[in-house]
Amino acid sequence: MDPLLGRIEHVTQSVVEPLHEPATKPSGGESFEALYRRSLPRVYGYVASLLQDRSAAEDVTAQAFERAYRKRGSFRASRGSAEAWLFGIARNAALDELRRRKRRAALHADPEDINSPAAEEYAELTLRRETVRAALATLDPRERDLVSLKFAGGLSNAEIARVLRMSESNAGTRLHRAIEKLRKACHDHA
Amino acid sequence: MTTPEATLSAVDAALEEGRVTRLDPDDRELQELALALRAETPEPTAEFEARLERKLAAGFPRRRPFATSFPRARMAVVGGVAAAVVALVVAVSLVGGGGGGPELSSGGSTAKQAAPSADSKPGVAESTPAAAGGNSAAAVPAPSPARSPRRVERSASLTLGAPGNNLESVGNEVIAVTDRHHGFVLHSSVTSGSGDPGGSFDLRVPSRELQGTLSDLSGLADVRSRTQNADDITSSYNAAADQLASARALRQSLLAQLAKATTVSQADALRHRIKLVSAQIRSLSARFDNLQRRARYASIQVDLVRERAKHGAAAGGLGGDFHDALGTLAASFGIALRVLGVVIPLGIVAGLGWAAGLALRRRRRETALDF
Repeated sequence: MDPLLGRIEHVTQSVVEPLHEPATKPSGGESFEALYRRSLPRVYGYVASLLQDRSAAEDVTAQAFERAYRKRGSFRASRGSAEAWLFGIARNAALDELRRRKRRAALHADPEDINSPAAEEYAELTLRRETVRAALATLDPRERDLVSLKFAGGLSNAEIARVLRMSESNAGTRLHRAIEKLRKACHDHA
Repeated sequence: MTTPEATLSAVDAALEEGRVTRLDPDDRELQELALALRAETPEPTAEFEARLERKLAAGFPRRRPFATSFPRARMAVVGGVAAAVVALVVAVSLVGGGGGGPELSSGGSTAKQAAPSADSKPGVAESTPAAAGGNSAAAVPAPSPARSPRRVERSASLTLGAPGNNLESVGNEVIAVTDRHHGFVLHSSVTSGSGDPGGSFDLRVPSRELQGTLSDLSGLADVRSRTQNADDITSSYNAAADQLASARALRQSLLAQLAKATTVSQADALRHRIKLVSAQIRSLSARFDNLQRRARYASIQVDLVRERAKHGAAAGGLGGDFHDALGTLAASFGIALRVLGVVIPLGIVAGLGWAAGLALRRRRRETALDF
């Protein structure tokens, strides 16, 4: 089995499947707790990708959920999905943090690798990850924001458009450009 | 070159399935990249999850409520109160200034500012030497500003409305009131009968009698408007007094020199200078007298206009009450309109400010990605 795919499957499961069955309100609306449980890893992943600082990402993620919790009465389903609303709050909190720091912080620690590969697979995995990271480093901050919303946040193009306040087609076009840029960077690095 | 739709479709399929699903090499490469990008996503630690879980269970308690939320809440409250006070003040000033009663112009405020001088101290305005035009230099007030009282020129205008057949009697009363307050009529004219009946009076009363005279005149008929003005002429008055005293001193000196002149040409030159200085003294005396009169006497312009008989008074009974009710309703409507005229623009300005603040905040936030 491809070691990279093995890791990917694990991550994908943790992202896509909710940790618990979402509790519902008597009215049929989703409770905040269900939203929290379903989106915590993705929100954290997105914020950490944007800030490139795990410690700060924890603070900002907690802050984002706290803000969302206090503003949960202002959410309107007619204006977009709960995820788009939550990621909008998280993005604002992350941008506030970036503004405070006024600099791009270096990653304090590598992402934790739960599925440690076998020794013979380690070299190939490391090489691939280095390639992807190098390609990511070629993106400008806005492209990186877009890519993080897509791959770390797991948002649909419509939700990304909602978070970034742009049209869905515009979001798709920009995402396409960013992915092509990444692919080219991967080739160059390889 | 793949199309955006094809790229995103391949990416979405890989993310959904969690594995490479396409056979085409380009698509496979895209899908592998997508999965690799997702694999790069940092994951929260168990400790962080547990910590956040506890916060959620506690309902995200505020850690430092006074350090974080209170200033913002306090600013909002202070801002709201300030806006409400401004709106109230503007509304009250508008409503108060435009009622159905007689209009009081802003001239009253000027009069208030000057009020402590001559009005509150009767006779101060007349405390200057009466013999200003005399020959004695001692008659001119001392030039020291510290000791000289304030000289204030006061004026007022009053418009009175009276029924056409009463205009003449009201005119007579105006003159009687002026006499009673030791004033005099500079000019008067009353027109009665058909056409455009009315009247006008140009009165002078001692400054200290101004308020009493206005009060009595206001009681003669309905006051349509009333304006008062007060101008401080102390500096002009003192300057004229100084110049007059200096000119008189100069003439005295020249007269003394003339008495000691030894030649005819010397005497002629001194006489010529004395003649010039005497002319200057006459001019200054006239100016000084004029300033004294302006300080001592207040001018009142009274205009008499014809007023139609009131419907309520004529109709009386139920009709009068109905008319009064209509009037009250119209006045209430007017007040409501004026208040809305203040509140709506203020609301629009506040809304625009709020929107601009939001846009600015959003723009500033986005600049975090501009480096």
